[in-house]
Formats: sequence, structure tokens, C-alpha cells
Amino acid sequence: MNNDKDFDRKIAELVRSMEAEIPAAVEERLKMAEGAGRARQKILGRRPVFYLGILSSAAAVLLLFVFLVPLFRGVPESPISEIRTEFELKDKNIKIIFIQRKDFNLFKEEK
Amino acid sequence: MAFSANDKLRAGESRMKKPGESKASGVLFWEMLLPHKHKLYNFIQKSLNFSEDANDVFQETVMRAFRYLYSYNKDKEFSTWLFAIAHNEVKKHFRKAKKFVFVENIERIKRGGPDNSHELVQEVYRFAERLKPKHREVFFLFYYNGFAISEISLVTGIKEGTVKGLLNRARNDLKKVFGDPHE
Repeated sequence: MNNDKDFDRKIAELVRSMEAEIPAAVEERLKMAEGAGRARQKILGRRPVFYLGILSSAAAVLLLFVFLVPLFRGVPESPISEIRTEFELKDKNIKIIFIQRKDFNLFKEEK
Repeated sequence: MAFSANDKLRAGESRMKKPGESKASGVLFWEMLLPHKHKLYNFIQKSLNFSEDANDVFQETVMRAFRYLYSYNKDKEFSTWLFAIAHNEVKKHFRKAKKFVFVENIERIKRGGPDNSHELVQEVYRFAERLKPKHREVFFLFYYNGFAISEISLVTGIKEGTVKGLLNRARNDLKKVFGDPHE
């Protein structure tokens, strides 16, 4: 058992005596990837606030559009300007005519 | 009192956050990687027989570890998690390569250690070069990285008994190469 341990130690020494250094180009690539990773993190970290801003702006623009566009367009003129309802009581020779106009206000007393 | 990256990590939640969830977890990763970077690079180099592709595999391993840091459980060793990713990348490399091309890369290795041991070192690396990729990984995880059998099992997903058997076989074969003085 001890022989194996001694042998393993010897082999480990031999294996570890030969080591390659990380080439400068590889280190450089890692640094670049690290930088890109950090930049990505910043963007990802900013993302919720970023999207919240965009979403609220979009909602505001949509609301403005919905409310302002009809104002600019104006209310279209209705082709019906007057509704007439006539009742005729023939035996009493009475004719009742209701005229409904668009400017007729229910809650306003006529002078 | 200075705190290591692992101490900072242990003070937090049991799982890392996604890079986007926490800026600190990203910064912490590079701190945690630092003590393992050199060993990781050499493990990949040795597992790939000092192939030119080792640089790409190393970079992919690091970037993958960074991307999936949130899946790392702080209750476990960072090194075993990191080397498990490296193991997967090495495996992926050999799967892509399909055919195993035997290339004598040993001569390219920088000379290390005392001059009189250089021949022995070359002999060990020649032996490792002839091993199957998976077996070679086990060999270097044990002899180079100094992982315990249980850790090698965690990294590679090979059962502990099989790891033990592979190492025994490698030891016996090497003894034949070097001639065991105790035999």
C-alpha cells in the first residue's frame, strides 16, 4: 500500500513538473469575454428599469393617440337632424307632434 | 480581515444568482476562478494531448462556467463543479473530432523540472497520450490536479470503483514502464 503511495507521489511529481502557461492571447480573449460578460450584465441589470420606461412611454403615447385623434377629426355630422313623432286622435280632431332635435336639452328650461 | 471569494459566496444564498440578477455574482466568479485557472488550463491541455484546440476548449469552459454560475451550489466544492464543466467540454471536443488523432505533442511541451527527470516525464506523458480520452482525464485529475477518487467520480460521473480500477490499471502499467523497484 505504501509502495503505491510512494509510486503515486513520484508520478504526480513528474506530471506536475511539466506545466504550460496560459498564452497571452488566450488571457486576452478571456479578458475581452469577461468585459463583454460584464457589459452584458450591466445591460441585463438595467433591463427592468429600461423596459419599464419604454412601456410607460408607449402607454402614454397610445393614450394620447386614442383621446386626441377624435378631437382633431371632429365629431362627424349625423345624417339625421330631426326625429318627428306624430299622433293623431281622429275622433277629437287633435294632432300631437313630438320633434326631437339634437340641440334639444332635457334639463334646460326653454325661455 | 480579508474574505476570499468563497467566503463571500458562503455568506450568501446557497445558489448563485443569474448574471443578470446580480452584478456581484459575475465579479465573484472571476475571483473564484483565479486560483483554479492555471490548473484548469493545464488539465485541459493535458487531456487534449496539448492540442491546439485546448485553448478554445479552455475558453469555452470558462465562459460556460460564467454563464451557468447560477447552477453552482455553494455547499459543494467550486473546483469539482468547474472541472465537471471542463470534463463535459473535453468530451464534447472528442465527440466533435469523432476520430481520435494520435499526435505526438509531447515534444512541444516546455521542459520542466530537473533535467535528469525529463526523460521520465516524457515517458509518463507518452503513456498518458496512449490512454483513452476518458481514462486520460481520470489519470490527470488524480496525478496532476490531486483530486480524491470521490471527487474524480463527481467530476466525471464515473463510479468510484471504476475510477479506482482505472487508476490501479494505470499504476500497474506505469510500473511496468518504469520497472517497480519494490517488485
